Formats: sequence, C-alpha cells, structure tokens
Amino acid sequence: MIFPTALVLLVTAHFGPLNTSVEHAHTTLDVQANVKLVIYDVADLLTRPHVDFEGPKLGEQPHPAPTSGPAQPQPPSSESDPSGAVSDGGRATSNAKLLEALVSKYITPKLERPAETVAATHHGSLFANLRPEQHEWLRKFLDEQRQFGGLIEVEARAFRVERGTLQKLGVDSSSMLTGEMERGVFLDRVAKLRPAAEEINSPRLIMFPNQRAHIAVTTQISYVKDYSIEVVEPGQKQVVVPKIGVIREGLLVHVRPTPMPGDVVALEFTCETADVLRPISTQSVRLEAGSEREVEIALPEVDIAKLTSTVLIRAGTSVVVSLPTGPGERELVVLIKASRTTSAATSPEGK
Amino acid sequence: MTSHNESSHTDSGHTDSSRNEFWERVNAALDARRDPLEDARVQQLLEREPDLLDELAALQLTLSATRDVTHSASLAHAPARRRTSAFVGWAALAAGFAAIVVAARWNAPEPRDANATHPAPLALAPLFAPIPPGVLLELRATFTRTSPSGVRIEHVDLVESRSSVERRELGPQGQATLFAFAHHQPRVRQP
Amino acid sequence: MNSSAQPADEPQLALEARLAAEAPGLRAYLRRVAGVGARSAELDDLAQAVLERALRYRKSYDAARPLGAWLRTIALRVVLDQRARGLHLRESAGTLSHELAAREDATVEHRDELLRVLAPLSEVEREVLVRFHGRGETIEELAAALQLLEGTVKSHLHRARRKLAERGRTGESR
Repeated sequence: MIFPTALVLLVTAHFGPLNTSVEHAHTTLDVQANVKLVIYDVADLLTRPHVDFEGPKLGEQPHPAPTSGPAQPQPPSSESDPSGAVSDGGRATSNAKLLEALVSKYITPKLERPAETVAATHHGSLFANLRPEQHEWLRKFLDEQRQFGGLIEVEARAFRVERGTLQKLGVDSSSMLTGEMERGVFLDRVAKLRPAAEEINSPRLIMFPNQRAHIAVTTQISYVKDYSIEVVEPGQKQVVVPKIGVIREGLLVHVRPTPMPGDVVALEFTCETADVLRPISTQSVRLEAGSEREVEIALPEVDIAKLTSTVLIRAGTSVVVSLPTGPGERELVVLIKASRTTSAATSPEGK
Repeated sequence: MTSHNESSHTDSGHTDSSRNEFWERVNAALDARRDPLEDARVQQLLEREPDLLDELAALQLTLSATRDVTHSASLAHAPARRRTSAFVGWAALAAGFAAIVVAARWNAPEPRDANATHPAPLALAPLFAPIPPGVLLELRATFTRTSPSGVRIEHVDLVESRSSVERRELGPQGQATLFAFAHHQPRVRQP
Repeated sequence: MNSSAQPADEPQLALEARLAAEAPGLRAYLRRVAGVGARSAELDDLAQAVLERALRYRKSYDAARPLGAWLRTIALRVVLDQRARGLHLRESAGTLSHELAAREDATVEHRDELLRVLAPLSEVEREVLVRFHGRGETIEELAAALQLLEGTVKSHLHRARRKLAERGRTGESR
C-alpha cells in the first residue's frame, strides 16, 4: 500500500522524534539518485501465525542427548510465557525481522547503494528507502503475501550418488526440470542407476507461506570420549565415570517457501548430511598419572556437508541441485519441487 | 604440426586445410575412443575457428542419441551381421525401443588421473537445462571435518565462484594453536 | 585414524589461487571460442560455469599438467555442451522434450528423431556408425562382419561423422 505524502507527514508527527529523522531523511534522500522513502502499513502481515521449526543440530551434540522425541518449535522470542504460548509482541517482532529479511533478499532490482534500505518495526510499519522500480516490486510482493491464502507443498527428494553418476543422470551441477515428463525421466534414470544412485528420503511438507520447516532423518551415536575418577561415599571409594559424547548423523532438510508474484515460489532450503567415519578409531589412555590401568576412548571423525540454496520455482518446475565433490566419495543430489495448493486449510485467522 | 603454407578459403572464411586437419584429428581420436577435446591441436584449431564447435556439437548430439537408442533397442546380443543384412540391422534398430538409458560424456566421468586415456563413449550435453542465473539466487556448500585434532571447514560458493578453506588445530591441552585461513575469489562477473 | 586433510591443503590452496589468477584470461579465451557475437553476460555465465566445474573436479587436476590446458579443455566442454544443448532444443522444440506426455512416447520419439537425423547417410554409413558408436563394436569386428577392409570401414565412419556434423553448420538446425 502506498501512503500519500500527507499521511507520511501525519505519521511522522505522531511519532515525535521520528518526525525529524524521517522528514530529514526523506528530504536528504530525495536528492540522491531517485530514492524515495515510503512507509508501508504491514501490521496485518505481522500478526499472522508464524512458527519456525528449527530442527535438530547435526554432528557433535553440545549436551547429552535428551530422550528421543519430536523436535519442538522454538519460540520466536524470549517473551514466551512459561506455558509455552508465544506472546503477540514476540511474534510481531519475529515476523517483522523475517519480513525485512525476505524483502532485502528478494527485492528486484537489488539493494546496491547505501541509501537503499528496508526496515520493519514490530508496530507494523515497513520503512523503505528505495528507487521507484524497487517500490513497485515491493508493492507487488506485499500484495502477494496478503492475497495468497493457501498453503505451499514442498517435495524434497534426496539422493546419494557415486562420483561420476551425476552426469549420467543428465545433470551438470544444477538443473531445471520443466514439467512432469522431465521429472519422470530424471527419476527413471535414478532408478536405473541403482546402486550407484540411491534415494535417501523423500519428504513432503505442506506448510504456511514463509514458515520454516524441516525434515530430519537421523540417528544418534554415543561414544566414550573421556573418563573421570570420582570419589563416592561411603568408603571414599573411587569410581571411574565415563563421559559420554553423542553425535547425530543423518540427513536434515530445511525449507522456507515464499510466494512471489507471477505464480512463483521462492524456496530457500538447506540440505545437510553428517556421517561418522567408520570404523571409529580409539585410543588407550591411562586413568591418571602413575596408574597402570588403561581405558579406551573413542576418537570419532565426523564429516558434515551442507548445501544452502535459494531458487525461484515456477509452477510445475523442479530443480536439481547437488553438493560438489566433498571429502567423501558420494555426492548429495536433491530434487526439489514447490507448488501452491488450493487447500481450504488456511490459517486460523480464516483467510 | 601440420604445415599450413597452402590454403584456400571457403565462402565462410574458414581454411579448408584447417578444417581438414581438424576432422582428421577428431576422427582419429574418436576411432581410438578418446576425447577429441584432449588433443591440444584440436583445441588450437577450435580457438582459431570457433564455428567448428557447432559442427562438433551436432556430431556429439547425434552420436549420443545413437548410443541411447541403440542400447534401448537391446541390440547388445544381436549377432554380427554381414554386409547384405545392413538393411536388416537398420530395421532392428528401428523396431525396438525401451526406456531411455544413460548417456556418458566425452571423457570418462570424474577422471581421477588427468593423464589417463579413457575409452571415450561419445556423450551428450547434460540432458536437463541448467538453472538460469536469475532463478538460482544462491548455491553454497560447506564441508566440515571434525576430528580430535581439530576442525577443517571448506566453503564453496557456486554462484559467486569462490571458495575458502579454514583450519583450526588443537594443541595438547585442547586449545587452538594454529589458525589457518585462506580465501580466494576468482571474480567472474564484470561490471 | 587421524585426518588426512592436511597434506592436501597446500596443493588445493595453490590450485584455487591459480584459478583466481586465470579468471581474466579465461574470459578472453571464452570470448574467442564463443564467437564475436557473445554478450558480456553470456561470457560471464560461461566463465562461471567453467570455474564451477573446475572447482567441482579439482581433484582430477594433475599438477604436472599446465593449468591453462586443463582449463581450456573444461572451457571447450562447457561451450560444446551449451551448443549441443541449444541445437537439441532447436531441433526438438514442440515435438520432443517438452510436450510429450509419457516416458514411453519420449523413447519412441527419440528413435524416430534419430532415424530422421541419420537419413542423409548411406546404408553402409549408418550401419557402421550405429554399430561402432551405438553398440561399441571395434573397427576390426566391423570389417570382419561386413567383409570390408578396415580402411574402408574407417572411411565410411569418417564420412558419416562429417555428414552429421554438417547439421551444425547448415541451416537445418538454425
């Protein structure tokens, strides 16, 4: 939404000290290469439900692993109450930061000059110092976020392929598959190349726009990383207590889809794999100086490969991305497809 | 090296002798099932006559399709044919079909020894189109190897074409005693 | 089992530094190869594709071999792939890759398309080409099977290849 100049002045007058800075900035920026300040009302976008599911961390775990269970959504701010509910203020702040990040990331033309800035407040205002063409993009982008009332389905199929297999699949390093036929050809080739190519996982996520979700296919490995000697009562006995380390290995996929004008979905995704090199080497150590008693500790090595990508996917199109040759002998290939659904399962607000 | 003291010009401006030499070398490489692009003289001739790339591309495309379709026609077990049955062989090719099979590249995929001579089944360009730059906004990879002696992290940015390596080693007491960082940016984009 | 990464670090860092130094020359080389009509943005994309492929396959680089030669080979492959892909798209537009409904139909169309492309060849040229490149038979085997001299087989093979290459030169594909 575009606020006319008069309303901009009204808003700045209401906010006191901001009045001076906005006017000043507006005046100053006017003389700089066609940049203009516009304040957009985005309060409706900041109050939508938005919970980012962060997912587990791969590799060495910082603390002993809790009992197994589903990943819990992280509260978007520290303002959550003990019951686990998220306060509106916290949600708005988080959504404001997210909106600001999305605009900065996707705006076209890109933000290039120091004067071109975007800032969102949790009160529901988006301050944008932009060129006219950037403002035009921003209006369309905000309209799209408002008008999109459905869900986004993301399908991420992960494959491990032997080195040299990628080209046999018809892919260079990353490719675009147009239509279901090409997608079918790709999957057919994967099937024919087994065991040189094998599918790890094919999760399908249905999510709200701009929500971050993840799929984790992991296992945990425990190992003895060290020992300590503790004295226990009664009897001042010394006991040897092993210190346990935990490594989580497997596959982790994060996605965040953003609806864009023109029936396009911007998809930000991360694929991460962790592998413990086997066999795990061990080392004998003495419990304490002067002691003849030796114990064995494990010295695991962990390889973590992480691919981060952002693509603009048009309806019916799939993209294939791959991790380039890493320390291991296999490459990770991910086939991603995103499509809008016309599902009636809309947000609780009923939009 | 072949001498080019005498030459005649075609309508397109190419020298016949360069073209002939090019195809002599390409044919020799293909007969030996080697990658013609590995021939330094072929590279020179392509640089001198870039239009030859179009011809080579057309040939590559057809030969790869030939491999694909022939494999799918299940001719692997067909007996060798006499010359008089050439038409029959052609008919067998035309008659059979199966699902699309794999195509390989000029070179053996992932050559580990650059000097090795691999039999080079002719190959097709990647079947699927690359993601256009305006569609692929970012593509980064990070490799981390964690071991008791330290951490090695390698970053590769495949859109900006740059990479860096970071290494931290642990001393006897577990503190970081060496920190090595290297960052190289082959900047490609021109203003 | 200690990490074996350390010995490989120095050569790898040296390679990446050399790739960075080669970037300007690479672009100039691509301009010569891609043709005078290549736009700056296209050259940028090609150079990026070359460096990406060089980084991807860096472990296949033999340090004893001149880096420039290795990069030129990669650059030619990238340009060649681009030309082949363009030719494929032009020839199949509206018929082959993008409008077929089923994989089985795609295979049939590939076969028919191949028949059309090979039609300018004589029977013996087709036979020799398909059996050599399609079935992997050797020249000796073909000579025995077709009761020809090996030199004659080669001649047919070479002529067939030249005829097929003409597609990229004539107006058929443009």
